Amino acid sequence: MKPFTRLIVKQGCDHWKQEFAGKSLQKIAHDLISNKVKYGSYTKCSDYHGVMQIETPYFVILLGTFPCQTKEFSYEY
Amino acid sequence: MAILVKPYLGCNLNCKYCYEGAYRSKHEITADYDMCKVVAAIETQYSIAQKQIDLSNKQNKACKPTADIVLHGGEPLCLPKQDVETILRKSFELSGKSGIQTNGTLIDEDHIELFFKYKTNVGISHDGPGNLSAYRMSSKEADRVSQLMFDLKEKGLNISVISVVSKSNAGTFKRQMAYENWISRLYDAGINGRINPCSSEPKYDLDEQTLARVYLSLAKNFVDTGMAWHPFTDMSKRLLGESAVCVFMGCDPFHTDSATVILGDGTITNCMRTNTGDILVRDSQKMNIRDEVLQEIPQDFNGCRGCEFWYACHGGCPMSAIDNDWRNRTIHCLVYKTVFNYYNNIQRSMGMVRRVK
Repeated sequence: MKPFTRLIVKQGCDHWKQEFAGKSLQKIAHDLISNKVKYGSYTKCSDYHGVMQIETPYFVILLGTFPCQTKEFSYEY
Repeated sequence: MAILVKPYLGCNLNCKYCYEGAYRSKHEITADYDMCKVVAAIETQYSIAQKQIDLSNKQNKACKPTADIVLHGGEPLCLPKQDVETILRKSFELSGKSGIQTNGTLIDEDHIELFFKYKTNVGISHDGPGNLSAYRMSSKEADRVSQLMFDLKEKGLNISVISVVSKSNAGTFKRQMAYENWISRLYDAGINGRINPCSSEPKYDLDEQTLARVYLSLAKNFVDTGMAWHPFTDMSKRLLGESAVCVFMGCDPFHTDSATVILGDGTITNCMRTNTGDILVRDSQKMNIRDEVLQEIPQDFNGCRGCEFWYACHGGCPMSAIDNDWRNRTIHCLVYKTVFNYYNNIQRSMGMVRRVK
């Protein structure tokens, strides 16, 4: 699987598309996980089958981490 | 490809297993839709779909897609009649026909008139007469809706059914036989449809062994009688390498090709089965992440690696994925394998060969 990043906004939260335009989703994901961001905290984060998914109340970020960054097939933060 | 128009997500019923239930329990459902935005979105999405179809036709692909505009919900007949007409009329203007998916309980003479006027294909969500629809409505109401379908067909409308198999209509052998008998009566009346497995909670869902037995029984019944119901025809087609229902075509839950959903504020989202507590705006491009992941992950870890029916199934619908995680294969793996195996044996015995590996 090729590396990929993906930002999917929730209904009514389109402004995050502009907010994050041109920014590294890896960096945003890292900041979210380490609680270093102003745009709120994540509600769920998992690296499962080589696909990291970070959910916030406003958007979802997907990052390809194949093969998994963890030794297990399933890992939840 | 379907364009599903969902201006209002409310419903007059409260079906136990409804896949929009999680959204309704988290959000207040209002009828503050903007019909101008909805109509503009229908025009735009239909135009996009037509371009895709034209491209497909130029490429001379074996499967010729069509764009169907369907008024959906919630329950679409909760809308004022003038709004129902606005959407059906727009669909008819664009495509020469229209469609609606309804629970059937609110259909009256005015609606029927609209259905004739705009050549509406009427899909009715129903699980059978009497107690077979116990998770949806009262026994008396289920009988009334069931009879209505036959009456509407008799009048000349194009009627189809989407039915959910659950404990209410297949939890015992007696119920299952009553259910299969109802489907046979529908077929005799010229009404076809789709059977979906209930994928909600264990108290409503059949366990996988039972569901596999029920599906196999239905498949044998259909082969014996020549009935052509979905997803059984789809499964046979997929074994031959043909295009079929989205469930078996590999789904990107963040860009569902087969279903484009238009919401009341004009937002474009995906098949509502993939939206649960919140609605995600449709991503701009399709990615095959789930396909790639499932092919690599061993079956013991909820993937599909090494499955002989991978090419036909692609892990099933992400909405029914194990642990409700789209990165896993469907919980209905055993069911699909059972039916695929049955059709595969029939096709092999007849010397039929699939076109695509």
